[in-house]
Amino acid sequence: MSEQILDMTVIIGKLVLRNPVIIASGVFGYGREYDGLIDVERLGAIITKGISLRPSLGNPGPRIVETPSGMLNAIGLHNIGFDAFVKEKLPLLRQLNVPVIVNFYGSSVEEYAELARKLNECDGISGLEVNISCPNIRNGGIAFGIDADMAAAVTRAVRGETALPLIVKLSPNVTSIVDIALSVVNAGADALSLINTITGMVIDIESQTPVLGNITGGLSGPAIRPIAVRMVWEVAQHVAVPIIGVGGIITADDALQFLIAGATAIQVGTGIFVNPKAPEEIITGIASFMTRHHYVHITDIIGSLRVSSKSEDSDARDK
Amino acid sequence: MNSIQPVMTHAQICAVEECAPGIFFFAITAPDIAHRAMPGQFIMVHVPGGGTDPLLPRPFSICGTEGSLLYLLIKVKGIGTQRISNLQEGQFLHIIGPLGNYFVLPDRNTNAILVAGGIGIAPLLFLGTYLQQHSSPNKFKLLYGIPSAKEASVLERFSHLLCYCDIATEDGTTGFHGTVVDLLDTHIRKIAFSQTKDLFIYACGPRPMLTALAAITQNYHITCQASFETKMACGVGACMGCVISDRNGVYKRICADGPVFPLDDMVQGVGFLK
Repeated sequence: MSEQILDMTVIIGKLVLRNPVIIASGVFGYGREYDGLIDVERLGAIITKGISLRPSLGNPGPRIVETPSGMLNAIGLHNIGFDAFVKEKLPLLRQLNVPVIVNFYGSSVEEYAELARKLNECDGISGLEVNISCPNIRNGGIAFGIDADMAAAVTRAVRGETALPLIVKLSPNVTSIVDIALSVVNAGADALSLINTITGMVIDIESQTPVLGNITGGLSGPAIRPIAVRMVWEVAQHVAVPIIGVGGIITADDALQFLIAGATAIQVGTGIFVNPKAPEEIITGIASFMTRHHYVHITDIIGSLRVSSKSEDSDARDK
Repeated sequence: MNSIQPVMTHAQICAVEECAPGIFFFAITAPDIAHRAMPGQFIMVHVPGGGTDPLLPRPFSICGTEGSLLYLLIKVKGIGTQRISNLQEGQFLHIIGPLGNYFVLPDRNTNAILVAGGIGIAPLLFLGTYLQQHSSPNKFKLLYGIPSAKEASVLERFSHLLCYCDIATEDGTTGFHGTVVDLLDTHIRKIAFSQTKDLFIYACGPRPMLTALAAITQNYHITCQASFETKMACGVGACMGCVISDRNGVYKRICADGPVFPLDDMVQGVGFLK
């Protein structure tokens, strides 16, 4: 069976993706930095670096540090702002034959709404991803993502301004991600991305100072993958909207764990630093998995996790 | 956006040798990169051995090209460089390049001085070779600062540059006794003040060296371009992880806006020595 006759199409809100492999926000700049290294037109979609209404300088360096099977970053949403994005970057993105999802954030509910309204008027945007989960800025970002009511308020405000497919990216730095997920879905989100990075810290013992300029940063990479898979699985049992799994995905095997746990699509983030060809290799790898397991439609894999009654029993005993 | 599109390739190692204690010279076959690379550009090298720890690729300046061959000089600093240095002839390096901008070349009337601190010699070996082959400018000098004579053997691979090179050692075991910036200062003092405006300095080395160098270039009003080293994640300008603050407080990406910047613009930036 060849790749062509496999149906890898997935649907996020009203957005139809040719396959479930998306490049995550923050690792892909404004979509053209990897020209020559990644054939984006093979992908399901790309998500651009989070933008704000006005340009943002970002955090002082150092902004990244490698950790065991991962990295911490505290970029601080360094971005060129809405006006420059529309003028300089969007025309280049429109040249690509791939759905472009724009990630954005605000420092107030009103700012989120204003930016959503402006983005809604732009040509060449296939969907919006609302960032309520960046751990590296003081105002906005995670402040909205760790409180179910605030998360709902942002989602409702943005929903009121746009008919574009609306994805809300959730923070794992919460006690119950299911509560936040339910709240955001009730407020009108078409889909959820999870997870954003997990707040962490690295200390230079010789100087007894934090390594990152921002003191703390967000942990990403394979180190967080089991947490992300668990959160996708938990949320998938409580919401009806599509979930986009993200967290430490580098290979097709990694991606398949998320699909089986209940994700409709997946994002590759830090993984493209490790291997820029990872998204394309994941598509090929999923196709060969489907062939090997006699799947024709990728949707039959989504949420196909089999939990034996024995493990359900032991689950019950633990409680 | 990079004006030259980078490529990703598996480059076979043609030669590898420890050319000084802890410093490895690599010659690798990478025609798509070697044919286009300019002095100052770099490549990202994936750490061999599979697995996800360490996770990120490592940036290295290109220290020369010859036909299809790309030369690298890699100093062992941690687990990544350790694993790369353990590779043998015939094995492969997984690389991306050429990346970043490059040195603005001097015109014929300019006298260039290349100031290298330690492993910062790498991009300046490429630049020196380029200047020699293109006989432009008329004159140039390579000043190489190292802790002791043991590291001078790095130059044996680049014997065509020996006649242009003066060495400074911190322990005085060979050449000038002192830092490379002190050596530069003695050079400049020999030149008539009226001629210092025809000087152009290229530098690469640790941040404290660049700070000391900036004091001299500002004093004599000499233009200086410096190549900056840092840890990177993407290497192509996408992740904003490798920034340096310029004098106006704007964060520049070392990988894509650099690695070569006017020294004056950067040395006054906040956190330059951090």
